[in-house]
Amino acid sequence: MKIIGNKITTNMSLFAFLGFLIIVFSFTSEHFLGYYNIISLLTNISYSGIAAIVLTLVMISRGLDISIGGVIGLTTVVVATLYSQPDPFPVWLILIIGLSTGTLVGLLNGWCIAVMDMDPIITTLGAMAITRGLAYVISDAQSILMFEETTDFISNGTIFYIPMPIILFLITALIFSIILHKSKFGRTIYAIGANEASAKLSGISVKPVKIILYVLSGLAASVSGIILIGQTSVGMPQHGLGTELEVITAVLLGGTALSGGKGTIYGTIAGVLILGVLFNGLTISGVRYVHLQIFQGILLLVAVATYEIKTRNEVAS
Amino acid sequence: MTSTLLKMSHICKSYPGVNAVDDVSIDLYAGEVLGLMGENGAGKSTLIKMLAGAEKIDSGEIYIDEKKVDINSPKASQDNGVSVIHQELITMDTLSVAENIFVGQLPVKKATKLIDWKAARKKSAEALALLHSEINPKSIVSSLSIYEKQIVEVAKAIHKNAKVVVMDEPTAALSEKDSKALFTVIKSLKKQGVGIIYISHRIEEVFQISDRITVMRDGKFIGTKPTKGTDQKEIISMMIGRELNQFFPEIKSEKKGVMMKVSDLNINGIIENISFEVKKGEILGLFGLVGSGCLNIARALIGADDIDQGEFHINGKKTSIKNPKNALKNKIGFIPIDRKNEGLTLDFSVKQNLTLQCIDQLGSGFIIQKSIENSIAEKWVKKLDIKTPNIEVKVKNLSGGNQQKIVLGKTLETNPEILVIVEPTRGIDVGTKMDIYKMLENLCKNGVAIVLVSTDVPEILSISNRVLVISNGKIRKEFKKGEANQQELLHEASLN
Amino acid sequence: MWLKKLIYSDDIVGALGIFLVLLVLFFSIRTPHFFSLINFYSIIGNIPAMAILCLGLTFVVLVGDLDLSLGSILGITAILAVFFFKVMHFPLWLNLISCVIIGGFFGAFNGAVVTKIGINSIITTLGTMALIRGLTYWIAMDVDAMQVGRITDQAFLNFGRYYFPEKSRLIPITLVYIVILYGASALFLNHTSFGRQIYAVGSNEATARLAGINVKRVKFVCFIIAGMLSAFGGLVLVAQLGLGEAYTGQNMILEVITAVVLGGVLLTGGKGRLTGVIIAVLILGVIRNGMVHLEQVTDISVYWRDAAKGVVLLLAIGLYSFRKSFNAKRLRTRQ
Repeated sequence: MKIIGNKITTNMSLFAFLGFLIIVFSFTSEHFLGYYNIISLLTNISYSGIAAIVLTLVMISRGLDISIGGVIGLTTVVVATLYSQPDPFPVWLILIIGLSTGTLVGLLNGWCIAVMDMDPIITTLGAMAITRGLAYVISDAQSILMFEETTDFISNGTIFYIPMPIILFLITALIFSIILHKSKFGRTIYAIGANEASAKLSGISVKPVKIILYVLSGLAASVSGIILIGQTSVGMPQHGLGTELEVITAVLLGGTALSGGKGTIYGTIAGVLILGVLFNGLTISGVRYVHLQIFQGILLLVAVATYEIKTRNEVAS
Repeated sequence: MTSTLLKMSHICKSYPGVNAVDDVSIDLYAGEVLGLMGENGAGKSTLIKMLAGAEKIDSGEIYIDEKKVDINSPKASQDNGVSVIHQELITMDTLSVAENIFVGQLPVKKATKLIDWKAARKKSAEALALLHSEINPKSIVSSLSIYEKQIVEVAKAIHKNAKVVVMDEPTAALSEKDSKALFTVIKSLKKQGVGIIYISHRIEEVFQISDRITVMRDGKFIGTKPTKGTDQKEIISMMIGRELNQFFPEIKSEKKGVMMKVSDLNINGIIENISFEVKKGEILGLFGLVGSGCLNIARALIGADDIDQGEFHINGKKTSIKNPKNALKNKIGFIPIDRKNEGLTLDFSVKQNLTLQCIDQLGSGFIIQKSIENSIAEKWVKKLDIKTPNIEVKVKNLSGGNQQKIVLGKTLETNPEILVIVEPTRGIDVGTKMDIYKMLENLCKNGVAIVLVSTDVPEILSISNRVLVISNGKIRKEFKKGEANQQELLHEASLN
Repeated sequence: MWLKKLIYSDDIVGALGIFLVLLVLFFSIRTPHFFSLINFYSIIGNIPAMAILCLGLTFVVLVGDLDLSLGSILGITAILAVFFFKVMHFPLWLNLISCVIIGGFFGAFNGAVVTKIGINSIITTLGTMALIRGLTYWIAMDVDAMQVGRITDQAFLNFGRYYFPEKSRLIPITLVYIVILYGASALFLNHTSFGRQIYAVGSNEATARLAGINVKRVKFVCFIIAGMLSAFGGLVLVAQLGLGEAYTGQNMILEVITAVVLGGVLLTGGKGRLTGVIIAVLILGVIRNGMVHLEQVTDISVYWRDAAKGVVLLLAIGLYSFRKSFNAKRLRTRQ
């Protein structure tokens, strides 16, 4: 946390803004603070939040992963297709294969970016096209129904009345918070993002770290995909469309800079919550789903502009 | 009396804590080459930056053709006829030669307002011909050699009708043949009445090409002498101004044995047949001017650059040094030349920088143990007397000397047996210099083998047990301690 | 050896041309109906909007930036064109001009945020991409008359569907647009002062600034051009389809970037030929069309085309990186 100096203040203002939003929406809609809405809100956040948490690490290392949405779609299709076979594999195996999908895509991304020195944006853009395309090919553009206990539990079950997705999100947040802020590995991530040349000369193995981060990102996207199957009971190639935009927006909102070396899990959680509350609050107040994009775009621009101006003021002083 | 082309009068510039340029006055006549000499940190670059409009002048005036001019931006500098050819070329590599020469000012046909490429190419060819060059104006700059790129920059200056051309270490990256060609070019420029300020450490060259030599030291103007009326010894003593052995501790080692042996190190086109040994407790100096290949050798020693050929033997055992991590494992430490961009992570705190090379040791498991991190950081702050409010501040807020100490502490934490140091005291105050030398002395006592790359002549002559002079990528000569004086060293280094 | 020369040579256009020819040959041999006049017209009919957007993106990439919002600008233009037609009853010329101006306005917004506030262009256009798409849906759904977004005016439809000459229907008007726009742009980029300033800024921004070029203004103008061209592309698309929907152009940007990168325009700026871009557009169009034919004769699903495009993009950028590292090794200097 100390790396980012007064990021603590930024996080505080983020949570203040969150509080502000909550207050506003509690007035615009009577249902907003209701039990069911809160649960629904948090569950929806968890779906993309898991990917956002891991993307934070990628972006701190000065990378970017735009293929998240494509991986989600591909994972849902792979899992649903395998399950709908005449004599399907056992569920645990299917789920492992599903998780491997994202892992493999992440490996491809990591290799291209770290070893072949290809531009992260274009590489993951290409990966997005490939995964999305493969999803369409495998499913033949059809939706594939899937009703299954385990996935149903992952997405809709509860432990002590808390929905599973939220638990998964909290676990992910906890694990990666420890990894990023307290572990040796986390330190190397910040080092690589803040000054790669220095990190390399100090003996840090940059390539393996980057590859691992992209693999984790792909894996997280697959997890999100599996949650989505249970929530929608269907695997289809359109799943995840637009999720990458949501996730990147949340991470940027949370104070992670595209230039690397800065960012916190807390900030990302705040960003995810803000976006989630914003969307939920607007929806429940009657704003149509398709209009949410306007707010998303404005929020992104305002947030990044604010950070930019703030950084510039810091440098000047 | 001939009128001066350029006069910089009582120029002053200071940064917090340091007087970079302290009441310096120089003048330049049309058609002459003025050599500007001085050690690193003498203030030459800052002076030229002000002339180029890249830095603001605190006080003082600039006169061009006896008229006072206000140079407050790069454009103003260029509009007043000043052109600077930097060491790091700033050509637009994806564009053609003609476009680089005419950037922003391409000739247009009167009628259509379209670019008159024919005229551009013709005028470019004319400018290039004045420089004895046959470069095709249509060629894309990325395909040119470094010398050709420099010629393009000079052609650009001519085209802008530059009256004053500043060349900063122009021959640093050039071969002997190209350097000679450049001198012919400079003589042409002289004939056209252009005044040239020639900045270089290569004392041989400066004596060959210049008409007068101005020396700066510690931000002050020391003197100007007509080249024919002085000699290298006088200029060097003006530059360095202090006796050897005045400030430097006596470095003695007690351990014996060869720590590292380098055999036939080769990087094609860069360094050739570099072979040497470093003993335990010895300081081996590598002395070479800019472009000599010293930095390449240093980087090869710590695995930062790939080599084409060469063997390393550490403690008698053949070792390969493939990357910095590898080098660290083999107990080789590195103090790079660019502490801000390569030695430190500026946005990290003091404590995080000090532990950057030993992250693995910050606890037995997966998690960084704060107590270990803090104790390591505090140990080095104390041991090296690093002046900082606490270990949590970002290093970018500290002074250069303290930053260098942090780089040192970071490296020493890994207990290196071999230390490769590049320019350890550049841009650092005297007090910190002493601290660093004391540290080196301690290391020698403990048997660490040190390879010291430095262009600070008194430093390298006083501290090193032996000095290898590197020039044009090859080892030229070896001097044992006391065998060489400053003049001989610079002389050897300037030879091809 | 010729392969090596192809990979290492600076001029990628030749290689692209060869690749295009190979593709055409492949599909012509493997499928019965690919090599026919009708099919070629079909291919050409599918590329105008894409080609025009690629042209717009090229301007932005040449100057060293990226613009992800072009698909959204095309989308809002499509909706606005329908709106102006159905609700405001604009005559065609007013409709066209208004849309292009609005496209320019969005481009100006992008340019202003990037140059004045200084936000990275990727993030900026990521934001405006969402913002403008949201506005598009808003207009499309909240205005009653928009519910059926059909254009029925013959003049408008002709704007996109007309053929020269009328009787023999040889040359589609969209081809004329492409030729005129690309030709004018090539003239502008290669033979005017401002055009060369674009290349200068992209090549080395600092040096360009030192030479007195107004970098901010150059970038600003490029974003405006991209916006206007995207709007024009939207108008063409609406005319061709006869309707404009809220999701028009939603997923186009990926293909646009692919074509521009494939076409040899350097992402870091300062280098790129329009010839390469148009060939790349044709290559992608041929792949898309060819895959449909391929599906008819083999079992290969047409949906492989998206994956194929992704692979093409990766190969293109991979080749670029490979060449970059090779050149870096060649340009090592002695220090």
